[in-house]
Amino acid sequence: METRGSAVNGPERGYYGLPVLKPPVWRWEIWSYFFLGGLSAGTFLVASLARLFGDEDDRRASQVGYLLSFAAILPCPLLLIKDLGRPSRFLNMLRIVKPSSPMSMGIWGLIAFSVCSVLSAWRALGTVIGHPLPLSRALPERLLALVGSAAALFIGGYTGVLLSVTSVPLWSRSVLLGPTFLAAAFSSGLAALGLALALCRGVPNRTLAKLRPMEVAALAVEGAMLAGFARQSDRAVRPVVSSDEHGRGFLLGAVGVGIILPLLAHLVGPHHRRSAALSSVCALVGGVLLRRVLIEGGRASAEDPQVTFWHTDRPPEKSQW
Amino acid sequence: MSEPQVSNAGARTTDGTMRGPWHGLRAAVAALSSLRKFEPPAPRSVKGFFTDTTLCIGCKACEVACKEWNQLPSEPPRWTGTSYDNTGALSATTWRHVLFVEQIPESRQTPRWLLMSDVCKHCANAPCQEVCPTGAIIRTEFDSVYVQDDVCNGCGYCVVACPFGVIDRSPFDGGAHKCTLCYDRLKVGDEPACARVCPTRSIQFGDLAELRARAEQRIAELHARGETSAYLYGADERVLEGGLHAFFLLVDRPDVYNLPAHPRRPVRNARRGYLMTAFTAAVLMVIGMLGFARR
Repeated sequence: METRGSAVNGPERGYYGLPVLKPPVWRWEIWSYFFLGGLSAGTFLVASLARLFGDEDDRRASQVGYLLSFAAILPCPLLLIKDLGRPSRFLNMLRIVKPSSPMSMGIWGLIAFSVCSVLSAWRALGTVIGHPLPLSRALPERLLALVGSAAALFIGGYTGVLLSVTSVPLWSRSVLLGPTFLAAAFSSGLAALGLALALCRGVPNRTLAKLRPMEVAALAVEGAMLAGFARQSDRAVRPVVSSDEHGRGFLLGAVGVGIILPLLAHLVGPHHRRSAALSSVCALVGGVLLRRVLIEGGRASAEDPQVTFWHTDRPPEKSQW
Repeated sequence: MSEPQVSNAGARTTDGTMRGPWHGLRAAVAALSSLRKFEPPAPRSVKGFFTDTTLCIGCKACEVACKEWNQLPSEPPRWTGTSYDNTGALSATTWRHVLFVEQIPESRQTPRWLLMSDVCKHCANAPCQEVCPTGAIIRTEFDSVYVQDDVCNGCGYCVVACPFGVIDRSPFDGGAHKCTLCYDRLKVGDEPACARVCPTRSIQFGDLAELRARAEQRIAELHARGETSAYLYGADERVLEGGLHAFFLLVDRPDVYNLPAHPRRPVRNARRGYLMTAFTAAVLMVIGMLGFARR
């Protein structure tokens, strides 16, 4: 095809540098929800694993986990409603069940998970304060842990899939955001429970010692998925890696503080409560920054027409299963 | 839409408060009956736009007619400083947008103006419709993509799903808006306002199959006359796995008109995303089980 030079357009492709895509309208409500929803799912998963596979001490720790999970899920519906352009119509989300829309599936998953989280927290509260609350003994603990864990795995990961199912190059070039967010949810769940146990003097150290290798493994999975995401995204990841605005948040914050520091603290740091608490705080801060940088970076990505043209240069590969 | 309006007159007093339990019950029945599913209108022939950019003279009558018919607010005039385009892009309140591509070489010899009236593509597989979680975005009996304003809750998912940057959330009412293919005019057998007003027939409206045949004929005609760079964008069914119901005749690369060469269908990422997430879930659960089972 013939190409003509244009004095106005310059050597770059496109139409006066105007964006091809519309920037996302999602802001702090969404990345806060992504973090808190992930944190709630993560703590629920850790608590359920402790309940189902742990010893007596771990079961006592699992009660703390269920209470944390409940506390983290509480603001989530409010954040999601506030984010809407028409908050009074939030119930319209419940008109339909639509498998092609990760947001529709997410709402139903969030309802299922919230029910499990609330019931588990109710039962845990009865155990923690020493005398059972109404109906709390009647709740099937193991069944709640199993069903709730399935819902929690969905809540932890669907947020990343939701971002992948868009046209924003940063979010949709790779399909590894779901795995990254799920691993981040699990590691922040471990960190939150570790922090709570490190601060509670009455709880024995043994559960805390069990959490450490799990946190190392979860952070390693999170780091590997994030590296895979960055590699697959190629040019599309640039807005969060190299820009002044987001680069610091991603490399120093999400990767440095959120993954590398806690890993170092667990692997070479001293094994006492203060060190465990500190590395947990780092992992949690990193979890917030990861969601924040990726949501905010989506705006920069959508507003860069050159990346959009690069992203859509070739037809998508045939082997899409 | 011809859905019967549920009357709740009498359920409220003049100051808007409910009167007694009986009226409360009636209001509840009225609210529930709004959930009743209505039979959709029977499918009619597939309608679309063929926008022939070689005929566009940049008069912007389409922009104005669209704003007038659809009662969209005007924006204060502003200059981009780069061209005679003072609209910039499609938005929640601008559903037709005329691009002014000014190709002026360094030598200032043989300058060329490319003009194009951009619009929602009414994709056969519309990403905005596929991700909409409320079901506000539907396909009409004309197979066009339509936002039901009384259902949309402004979640913003369609905004990031659209590979063409068409649909946007309005800062005025918080809802998502875009071209309706003048659904109200089609309902009574008329054509969309932009096509009706276009003085050069650059915007043609009609049955999709007929439009595609006409476009192929026009391509052959242009090629015969020496304009060999003319081609159709979006008429090919491979684009977004089904083609675009509003397609274009272009004479330069798609990016010159700010169009992606090979737009991707976002839902294609869902299955792989979920599967990779499930795989990671299994790995994490094994880590957790081993971690707690350790004595």
